[in-house]
Amino acid sequence: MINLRELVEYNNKWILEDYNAGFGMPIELIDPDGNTQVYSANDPDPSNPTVLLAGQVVLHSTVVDAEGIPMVSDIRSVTLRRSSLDRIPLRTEKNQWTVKASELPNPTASKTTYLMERPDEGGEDIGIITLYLIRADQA
Amino acid sequence: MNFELVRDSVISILGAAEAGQYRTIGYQERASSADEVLGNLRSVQVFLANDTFPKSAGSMNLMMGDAEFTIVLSASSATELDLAVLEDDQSTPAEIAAAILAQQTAEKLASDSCEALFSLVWNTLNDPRNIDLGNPGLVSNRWTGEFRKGAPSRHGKLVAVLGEVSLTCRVEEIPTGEEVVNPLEGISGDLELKEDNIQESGVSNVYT
Repeated sequence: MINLRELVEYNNKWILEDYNAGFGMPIELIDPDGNTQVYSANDPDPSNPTVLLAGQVVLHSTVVDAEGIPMVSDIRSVTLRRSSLDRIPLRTEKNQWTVKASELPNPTASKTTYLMERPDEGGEDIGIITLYLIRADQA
Repeated sequence: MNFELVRDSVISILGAAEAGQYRTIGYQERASSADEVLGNLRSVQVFLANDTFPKSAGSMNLMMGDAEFTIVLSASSATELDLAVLEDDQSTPAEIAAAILAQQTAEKLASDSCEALFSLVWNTLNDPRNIDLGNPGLVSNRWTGEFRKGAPSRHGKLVAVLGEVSLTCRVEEIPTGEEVVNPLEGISGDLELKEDNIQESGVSNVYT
């Protein structure tokens, strides 16, 4: 019998990372030092990894405008399992992380490059992290 | 009224100076997407804010109205960096880190874009050739009195900045009366109006 912490971690795995049963989509993360993470830190064979880093990609969010009216905005975010990350983005690292994610619900679709505008303000207790994204254009 | 002519003239003047650098919209939009004003799609909205008529200006023949036009400047931007480095599998971590550090943030780019748009609009409207805004004899005292820029605001994956320019001028207005009223319909019998020798009534040529 597994305890609740293990149950949460198990749920995060199939909800956020499973391509078939969950919302999983392949994600690439580039940290401020330029290191790219393509494979999950939970890969059972780190020397010969095959499990891609995956997370839930949300292309639209509901926000409240200045007049208090709820509206749908294309604020993009990805939610990842913390244990799958080599390095956790910090709130002080605004605009220093790069995220490559697909805009289509297709794990094999090409990825678009974003900058992490900010990480979320919580989620540590259930082992997830949400990164809010901002569009990056070629300079 | 003549302020409508002047408003259309301002729209035409700004439209003729676009050169692909912005879009001119001749009314106030209720709302627009940040995507619609991205880069050189930035927009200039022109509309009348208010028109005041000082009483001392007279009420018989010519009236002078102080028209104030609001010109709303909208610009948005994404963050810019060297994506070619980030998307090249051969790039080293040091090269990628340098590209990320060299980014220009969307807040700065959107703010700069709005200020550059104000510069374009200000220089166009204050060109000496536009001293009467294309309406000789009707317009005087044209003046861009204020530029107010808002704070950068996040709209989805972009950052937008709004600015507002106040353009004031004095416009000569001539009351024309209600066009649908035929003064002869309310009068029975012969009517003869003499020429108004002192030129005060403004109706001297209606019927003689």
